[in-house]
Amino acid sequence: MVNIQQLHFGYRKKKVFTGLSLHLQPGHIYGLLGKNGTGKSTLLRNIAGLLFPDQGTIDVMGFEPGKRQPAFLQEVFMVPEEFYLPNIPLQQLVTSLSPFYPRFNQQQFDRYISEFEIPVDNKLESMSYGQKKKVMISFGLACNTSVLLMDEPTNGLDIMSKSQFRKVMAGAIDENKCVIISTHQVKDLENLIDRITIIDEGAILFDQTIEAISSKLSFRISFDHEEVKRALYSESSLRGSAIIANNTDGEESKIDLELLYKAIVTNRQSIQSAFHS
Amino acid sequence: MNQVFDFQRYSLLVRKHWGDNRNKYLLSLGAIASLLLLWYGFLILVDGHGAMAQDAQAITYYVGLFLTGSFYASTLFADLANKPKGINFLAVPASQLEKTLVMFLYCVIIFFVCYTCIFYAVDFIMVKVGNAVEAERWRERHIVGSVFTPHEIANVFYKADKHNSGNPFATLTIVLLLFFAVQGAYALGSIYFPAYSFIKVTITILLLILFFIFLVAKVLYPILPKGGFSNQLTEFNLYIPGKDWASNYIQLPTWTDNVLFGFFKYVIAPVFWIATYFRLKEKEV
Repeated sequence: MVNIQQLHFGYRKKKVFTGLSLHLQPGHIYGLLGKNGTGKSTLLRNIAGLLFPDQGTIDVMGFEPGKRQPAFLQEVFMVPEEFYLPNIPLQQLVTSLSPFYPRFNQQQFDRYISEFEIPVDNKLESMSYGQKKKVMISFGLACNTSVLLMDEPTNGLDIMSKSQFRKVMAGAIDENKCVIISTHQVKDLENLIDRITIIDEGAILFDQTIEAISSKLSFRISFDHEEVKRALYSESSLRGSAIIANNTDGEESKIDLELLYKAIVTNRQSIQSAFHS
Repeated sequence: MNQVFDFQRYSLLVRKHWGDNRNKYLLSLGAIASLLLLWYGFLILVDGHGAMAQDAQAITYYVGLFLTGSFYASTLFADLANKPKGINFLAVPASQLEKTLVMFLYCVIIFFVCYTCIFYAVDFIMVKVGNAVEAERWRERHIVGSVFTPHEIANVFYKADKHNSGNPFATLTIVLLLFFAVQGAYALGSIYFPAYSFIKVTITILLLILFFIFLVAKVLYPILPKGGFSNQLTEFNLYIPGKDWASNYIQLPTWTDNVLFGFFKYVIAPVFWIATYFRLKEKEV
């Protein structure tokens, strides 16, 4: 669905990608993780056709995003981190924008708006940042585009809204959609994404499915010094040491995304060795 | 569905643009009307006789048209300077041609019609007010034998010329075509210079004019024989001492004159809009 080959991209003074390749399939929610300034948003904007690669190719459902053809744009919706909504009532936004998306579903939109508890009669300008973001997310989901790109979607959402977001997202995915969520708040994506891609310094550090991670790695709290020493990664906490170890007994544990992220950023080789063994 | 132009998608985009900008546009038209009222009010106050003369009305119309039209055109693609607004604009599922044509429709056609309607609405009121004020002043002066002649509403597209039996619309057509070219330049500038576009385009146009003057004065004239251009750019009168002016001249074929004027009249504005379309296609946010 999204095929990126040897992507080179840079801003005037800074190279961001030097040969990044990535293949994304429908039916999955991809978590794009990475530090600030590592190119997560840049990658999403390249996929959306808002930025053009210096070298390499991006293919989204057979379209070249940079051409920004209407048939491509109606298959891709982006929820940017910083977004703009005109100062009009919510219903007017739907009336004016939804006809551009052939698979837009009004009932679905109303359901998301109600789940997010957004006041429908208000003008968009009078809404808070979080409420506007929820409008964007609801609209993006209701458009039923094949590719949904979300850049830091949980930024600005309160605790309850983050949980609503996870619930809404979990119910919105189907086998024809590919959702790519970029974030540095890894905790917000727990139990939501089914593939993790970590990028750093313009390259992919780690790219595995949740299934593969669960089968290869074990996440647990340990009080055993020997076990902590043998662990692929450990972090001491008040209630013992949180460790990532090789999953030798085949028992699945709950993935601690934050711990995994830190482990990959600080000690990538040891984590990757678990997948190559 | 056509990926370059689809009328249904275009109509949706026209409606969306109006819905998103309705308040701004209505307020701007109100502001234009207020400025015209203020200007006419000022003229009536300071000029007791010819404030609402037809020439003053026509000048007001064209100066206002150039100023407000250029300013509006300079804000046309200002959204692209702002990342969130730029994404909002570029991500709408419509082709770049449709997006350019929507801007063209609002900037060139709708603006022109609205401005003209607003102008005449204000003009109609202020000609009446001006005539009433002038009539009052005339009564106060009691000039025996004089007759008060009220001013009439000017037809700003028609210039009665006593000395020229040619087409009375010709001069003002050229002014209008010049306006569309200037507006096209500001529209293109709004996409090239997203910040301070109006100032930057104005400076660019002034620099180009200065460059042209320099070219004519310092490069062209020194290599030409003594003399000067006549009414046509393709006719050069030679100055020969002791002989009548224009008794000797160099003339290029007439068609060159037609081509040159045709280019300035009909080609420049479309060229600016075509350049705007291509610039939009390559715009990144």
